[in-house]
Amino acid sequence: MSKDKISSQEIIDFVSSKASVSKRAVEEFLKVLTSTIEEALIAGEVVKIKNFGTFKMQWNEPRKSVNVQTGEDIILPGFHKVTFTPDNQLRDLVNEPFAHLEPVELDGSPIEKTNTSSEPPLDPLRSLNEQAFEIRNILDEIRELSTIADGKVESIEIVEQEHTFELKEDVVEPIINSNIIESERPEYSVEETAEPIVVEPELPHQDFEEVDIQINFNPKSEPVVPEISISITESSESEPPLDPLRSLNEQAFEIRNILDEIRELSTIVDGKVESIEIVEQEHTFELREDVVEPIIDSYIIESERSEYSVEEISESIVVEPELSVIIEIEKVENELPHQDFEEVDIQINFNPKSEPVVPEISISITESSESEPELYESVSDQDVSIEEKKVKKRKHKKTWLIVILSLILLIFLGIGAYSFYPPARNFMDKNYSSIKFSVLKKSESISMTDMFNTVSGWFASKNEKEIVPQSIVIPKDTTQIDSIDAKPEVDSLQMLFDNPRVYTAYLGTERIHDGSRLAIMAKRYYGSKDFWVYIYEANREHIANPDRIPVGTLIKVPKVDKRLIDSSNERCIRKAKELHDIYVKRN
Amino acid sequence: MNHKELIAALSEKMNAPKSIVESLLETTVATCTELLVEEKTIGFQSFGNFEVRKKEERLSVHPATQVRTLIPPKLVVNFKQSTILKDKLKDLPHE
Repeated sequence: MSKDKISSQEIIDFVSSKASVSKRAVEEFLKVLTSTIEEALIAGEVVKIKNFGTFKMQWNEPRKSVNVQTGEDIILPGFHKVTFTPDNQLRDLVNEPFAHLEPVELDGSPIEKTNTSSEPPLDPLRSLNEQAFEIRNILDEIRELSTIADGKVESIEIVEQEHTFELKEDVVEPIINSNIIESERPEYSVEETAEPIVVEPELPHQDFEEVDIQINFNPKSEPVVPEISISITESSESEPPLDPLRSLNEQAFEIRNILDEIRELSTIVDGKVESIEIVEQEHTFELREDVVEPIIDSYIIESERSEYSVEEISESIVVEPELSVIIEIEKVENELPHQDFEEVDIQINFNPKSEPVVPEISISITESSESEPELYESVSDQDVSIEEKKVKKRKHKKTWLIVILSLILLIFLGIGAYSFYPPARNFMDKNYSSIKFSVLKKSESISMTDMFNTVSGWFASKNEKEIVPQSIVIPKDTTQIDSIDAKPEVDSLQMLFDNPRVYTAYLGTERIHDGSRLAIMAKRYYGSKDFWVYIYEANREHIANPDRIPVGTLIKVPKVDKRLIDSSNERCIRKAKELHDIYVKRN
Repeated sequence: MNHKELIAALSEKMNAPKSIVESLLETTVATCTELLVEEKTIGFQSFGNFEVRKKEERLSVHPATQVRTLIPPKLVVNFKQSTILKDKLKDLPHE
């Protein structure tokens, strides 16, 4: 900051050269000017000069002070002081370097917001650890329970399995939960939930399965009424060729464990119900060229005493890894209008009436396979977090009633992650609409190219590890499939937001000098200071911190798509503000 | 004394037409403004100095609502009278 002092003489030089008047005349003029002002002030008047300011006289009251050397109290006499209040125009001109700054209210809330928003993507590993810890606690509790009830029910042994979590690039946390529900009567229900879920946002093809097995033993004459319900909820989603096999193996492992438990149970109740034999058949998983076909074939439950029914359930999960983008699109088109929901409830009741033992076995299998992930897209992260809270609450109460919400949570998380890719949604919508309204051949062909753009842009942004964040898409966009007329504009804008911006053309270059700001440049070039982020994006390699750009840096002002910097469009502003938050918070 | 009155007083003292005085005053004001924007200090002999001061950003707390507000920094023009002027004003009786 140069603090050069301009003397009267220099002022005279400037003015005389500007007004092309002799220096002597200007000197005289200035003298007369100051003396006139003085006189007017002494006369008690206020002197106002247009576009410059107002001079006033002010009386400073005498005040007490202390002599620094002697420590005596002294009274400083009152004096007159000429004050100068700059005119609005001068004030604004002088303050221009800081004109863009506005007072900010600090409530502490904006800081919290940023914390919560930035956290989820950062530490999936930590949450996995927490989950593992919880599982261990629950298993400990199960063990305690078995020792307590030892006297009556011989023993319930629960094998703790090792859950291995692998954090891969795109794997969204697998949650494995074991929940136990106990009431005061010796009723035991063990719920195990195992879900190896690998969510791959690229594939529009997902399968969800739920298998619930409930086995109730109700020997009424007995004081011991063990009731064990095992529910396996599996949800496997299609994924690249490597992972499905792994997850299927995990599933098989889980099923085997549960069957082991059932077997143990049968030995416990052996005295009363002679024996329940459970034959486990082999689960074969074959990995063929492109198709992964896990065939989980049939659980046979036999009871020697009474009639029994054998149910065979065969499920086949077909996973087709993407061969190419084009095939992908075709598949989507074929599968979109096609949805399957199946529910199979099987109840096996043993009711030998002469016997005191009334075992009741009910197996309910709910299978729902979906080809359309869109259905879950409206689920927001908030819902998920609410469910998480619920689970924690119940655990705190120690009612032993722990509900398997984490599975649903996981599915929602996966699809939530999916829904964070708005291009995917556009992609789906476009397909959907192109099927539904196949009359509009033009728009179809356009949408295909658009789709390729989005898909490619999407992969590109993924490789960059989401440097350019995707904005949260308003659920409206998905639901209003019918309103095609309104869509193209919205979609193109959204696509503009989502595509990584490439800056090739430039409006000009600016050199950073003391007091210059990106926001001021943006205001000058784009009409709103909010759009400074685009200048920053174009010059990111030169700028370490957008708040502190070294003096002398050359800034290239990029030519940005007019639709992006439409200051009258609220979405543009909002998008720019989002980017602003990201860039500012990162530094 | 407003702008017009000032010009009238000046022209009377200088024996010059108002238009010339007005243009001269305008040029002076423009020059001063330019220099002040460049954050230079302007000194007028026996009158005082005009300088630009930076007011640092600060936290202000609303006494009633306790809302804390961050006031951004700003640049203001400050005038400091010269000692000569101060001495002249010393003799002025205070009412």
